[in-house]
Amino acid sequence: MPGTGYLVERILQAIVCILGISVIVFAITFLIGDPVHLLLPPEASASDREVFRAAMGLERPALERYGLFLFNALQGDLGQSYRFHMPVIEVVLERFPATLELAVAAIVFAIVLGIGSGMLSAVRPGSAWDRLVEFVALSGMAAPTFWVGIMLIWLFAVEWQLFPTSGRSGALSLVLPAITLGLYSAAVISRMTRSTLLEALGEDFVRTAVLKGAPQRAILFVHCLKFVLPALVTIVSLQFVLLLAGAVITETVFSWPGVGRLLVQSASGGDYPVVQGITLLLSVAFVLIQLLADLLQFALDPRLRSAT
Amino acid sequence: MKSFLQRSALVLALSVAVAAPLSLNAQPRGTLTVALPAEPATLDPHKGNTRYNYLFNSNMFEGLLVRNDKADLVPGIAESYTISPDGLTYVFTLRKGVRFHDGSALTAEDVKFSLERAINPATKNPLLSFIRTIDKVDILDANRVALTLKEKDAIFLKKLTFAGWIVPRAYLQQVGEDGFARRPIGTGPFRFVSRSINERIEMQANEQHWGWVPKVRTLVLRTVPEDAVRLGMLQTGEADIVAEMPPPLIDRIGAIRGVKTLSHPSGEIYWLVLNIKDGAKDSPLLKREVRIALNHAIDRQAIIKNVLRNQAEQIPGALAPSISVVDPNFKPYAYDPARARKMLAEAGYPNGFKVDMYGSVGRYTLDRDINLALANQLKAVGVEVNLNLWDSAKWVGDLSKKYYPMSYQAFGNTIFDPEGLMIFGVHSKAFWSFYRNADVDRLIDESLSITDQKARDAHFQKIDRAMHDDASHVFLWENKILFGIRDRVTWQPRPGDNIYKFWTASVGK
Repeated sequence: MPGTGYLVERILQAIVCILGISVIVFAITFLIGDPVHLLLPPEASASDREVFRAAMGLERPALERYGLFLFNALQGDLGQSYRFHMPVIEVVLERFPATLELAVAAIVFAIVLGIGSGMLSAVRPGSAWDRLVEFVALSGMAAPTFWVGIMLIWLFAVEWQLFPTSGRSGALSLVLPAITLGLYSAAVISRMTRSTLLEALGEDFVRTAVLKGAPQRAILFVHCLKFVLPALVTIVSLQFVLLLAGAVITETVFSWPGVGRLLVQSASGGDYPVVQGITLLLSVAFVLIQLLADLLQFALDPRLRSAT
Repeated sequence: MKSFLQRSALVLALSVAVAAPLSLNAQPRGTLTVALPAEPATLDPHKGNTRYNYLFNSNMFEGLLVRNDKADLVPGIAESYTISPDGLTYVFTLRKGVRFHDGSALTAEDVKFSLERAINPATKNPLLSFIRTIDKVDILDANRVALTLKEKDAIFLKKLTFAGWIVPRAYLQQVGEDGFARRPIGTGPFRFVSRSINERIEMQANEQHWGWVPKVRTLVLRTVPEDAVRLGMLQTGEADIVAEMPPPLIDRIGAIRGVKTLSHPSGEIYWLVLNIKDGAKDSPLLKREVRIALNHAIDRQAIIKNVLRNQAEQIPGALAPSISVVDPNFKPYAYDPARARKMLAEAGYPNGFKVDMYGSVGRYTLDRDINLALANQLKAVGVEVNLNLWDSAKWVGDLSKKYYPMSYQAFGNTIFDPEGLMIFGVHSKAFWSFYRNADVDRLIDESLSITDQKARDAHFQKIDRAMHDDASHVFLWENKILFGIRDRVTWQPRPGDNIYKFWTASVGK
């Protein structure tokens, strides 16, 4: 099978990457400090703290704990949450659908808005429309998420009361967080679409098609799209992973019950097994999606196949 | 036909007569939605440690004794108790007819199981320290349970009420530990309906409760960390009560039509902790005159007014006026920077001294601003404060391994007795104490055997005076929790109680 060597190399890379991440994540929880003081009330005595530390397995040496963490993680066991007193994997997977739902909605929003506006800009570069899109896209990239979120809530939920302010209760409650989360990606995709499309429009095969008298719509959607698609797959998959992992602020602003919220809470509450679990799962997801995107490129771009 | 009507009328009259006494206790009605900034992680009452756990527990579960909406200690699952003369054995007589939310009857077995579970190290109960004096739990007969203590504890009942929640043995064993935390069952005024973690907890009135049937049918606890969004929910009507609002928003809340603000004394005291227990032997803080000078250096009223927007009350010592008896003639150290400078000079520091201060960010209300204000006021009298501001988790995490010469901290009320503060926050043996004074330690030890409430009040005032005179800390204030409440809600939390109880709350149109 062509490309097997490439595939194996990518998978090995992925494993090394995940291992590295696990070390970093584990080390960081040490830097934050002793979780026992966060988990026990001030009313606990020093001896209470020792007893609790032993019950949580925290008195063992760091290296031993890391080994145990890795060994168990390989078998799908990410340990017990200090605060939920339940397996980490359950706590995290229970929140995952909410995060996935939000990320999918945000990426759909970003794709529609981004590709649409990007294509329109590319067709008439330098026009008033193009400049407007550029301005909006740059604002979208620059605006801080929490500000956008709160502004949207204030306008659409409080002033006009079209959507609920927060929470996860049906399709309506998804609209504002999806826009907030997807805005940055929409801007990135829009810029990317514009530049690759402009590049495509200058290629020989497009000029040939134009000379042959092909209709503009066919040139744009058949000839150019094939050329633009691989680049878009890369950028969209990258954005999607960022949306999955980067929904922390959006989830907090909108009280969206997803993994990002859980991550912040667990870090500030000393629930380190959950922090480690989420980071590890997200990095695995990140690496897998990137791998998948690479394979998709392979299928979409004949030039890659012939190169190997 | 006529006779049928007559009979119907009679039946109707009878049913009205039967229903009449019931209608005195109005049916629970309406939905009360409360937006809080955080929520309990686990719903298991023997495994959680945040204020939100306590809040959930007290609405959902009960102990042998319980706190009513006035936070008074009253009979709960036990209708009465006796204490042996040596103070080591407590015999509780259980109330008859108490039922769990699934309808099953509560038995002495449940009590024994629950308390043994609560003190079992394997449970990893964070509140174990409150009830670790329990040695064993014996069932005397179907209605009586005896608790034997390892040592005498003057306020055992207060601690037991805080941590000794009763859970259903059969149900818990049937659904398992995780199953119970997902769908808990208790005997309290509200029963659990559903939960979406990090979003909402829904509860419903327990109409079978032995005494306190809630006035609202449904209680929804929404978890909304963003202050501005809680404010928005108040405006849209999505929330009836929003809790723990930052003081700077007070005017915004007050400006919403149909909403009032409530400034609720929290029972939590704030102080600048001066470390004279461990660390540097040459620390200027070891000198009493220096500590008194620092007390004179702080303009508490200015911080209360400008930073805390009046959401705090200045206090002379360590006792919170909302939960303890504080002598009205007991006056705080006056703000007097000239005097502070003079005292520092007399203590041998005419040019002040350098000191490291460690402050948390995100642990207490406006803690960053307050830390900065305190540091600046100390600088104004010549104390060169090197302020380190750390994220809350890091600040707490390093508590046992790092030396904090000076830090802004709070101590909260959990058991409505200053003993918690004294034993765990002042006594030199306490983990969370940075103070050392043999006389104060001795006074605190003495308090342990005083059971009479009046005598206790007097004794704690004496301790408070001793701490004040020694300037053990820079005493600051008791804070107030800011609520926004819609006019349709009737609810009055007891001052000093930050474990909100909702069964007496009602909602109108």
